[in-house]
Amino acid sequence: MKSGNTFKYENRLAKSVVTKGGMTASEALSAAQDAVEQIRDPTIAEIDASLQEIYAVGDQLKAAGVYDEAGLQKIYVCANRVVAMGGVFGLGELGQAAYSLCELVSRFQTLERFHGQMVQVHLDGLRLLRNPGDHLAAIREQVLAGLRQLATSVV
Amino acid sequence: MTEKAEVRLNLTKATVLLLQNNQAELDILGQVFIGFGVKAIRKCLTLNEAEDCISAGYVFDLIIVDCDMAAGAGFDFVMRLRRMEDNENRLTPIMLVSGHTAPSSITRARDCGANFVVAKPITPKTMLDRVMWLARETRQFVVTDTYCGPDRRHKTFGPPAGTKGRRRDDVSAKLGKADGPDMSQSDIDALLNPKRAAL
Repeated sequence: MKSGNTFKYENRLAKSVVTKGGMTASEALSAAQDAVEQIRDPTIAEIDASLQEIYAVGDQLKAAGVYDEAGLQKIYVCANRVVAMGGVFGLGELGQAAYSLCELVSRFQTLERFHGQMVQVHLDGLRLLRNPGDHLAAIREQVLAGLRQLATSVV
Repeated sequence: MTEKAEVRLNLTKATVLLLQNNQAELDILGQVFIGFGVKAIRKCLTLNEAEDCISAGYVFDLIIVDCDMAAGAGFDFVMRLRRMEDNENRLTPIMLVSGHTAPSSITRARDCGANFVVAKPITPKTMLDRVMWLARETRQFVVTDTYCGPDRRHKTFGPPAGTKGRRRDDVSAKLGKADGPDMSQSDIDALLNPKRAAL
């Protein structure tokens, strides 16, 4: 077995942590939150577009009722986008439901298996959590717990 | 007694490369760094754009790479960059951002040579914490036949039991003979629970 080479190196990013000038953590957070708010509308539109694609492909897959690698991959990619964007704009639970859908699809892909009802339950969950204010927190948590249980039951 | 100065962040002179395969996610990340005061942000939607930036001679202080690119292209990008011996970006802190990660990608994320992986969604709070963490990064850089990047061990526990270790500074887990008198219990207590000296 060959031995490796280990060495110390200059971390250029270290220069950005200072005691004078710049901004405090709370100032940086506040400025970043303001900057992110500027793109709230287009990002929410992007989330909705991803959801629509998930619903459409999900319906096609259910109608066909067979394992379709390409269709599942489309759902996975779109759901992963919702995971990435949902939590930034107060749709964290929607993001968690999308994560559960990713987990479900990933397991289907590993096992080359498909179950339309399991996908349908996730689509219903996404629809419900898209408007979290319409439902009690306890109900939303139950929905999420159910989705997680469903996804991890595929073994 | 002097007051400890508050830690502040000054990223105005930092250069950041963002590689994301989705425009909306790229925009979110870009806005976060604009908020942090970064002036020089290179936003790339494709691997080719990012590789062009690297080969064009830009030197970055921080690189953020999407784990969710097709066929694990983000991991390959990091691996190639870490092996570019003549490129200054080889040692740049790299943060991977990941949504849902398929089991097959978990070991690739660990072994590609990034400093660490952050789970999406990337909120300003999450990113600020991780940037501060990266700025204080002191792990050594490791180059072997199979891995190139920061030491994956965040704490040094010594080599695995029963092995001698492969590094010059690996200390044997075997205890030798004491080379001085034993510490008293009060010395040990003071070491574990130091009290402020009464002046």
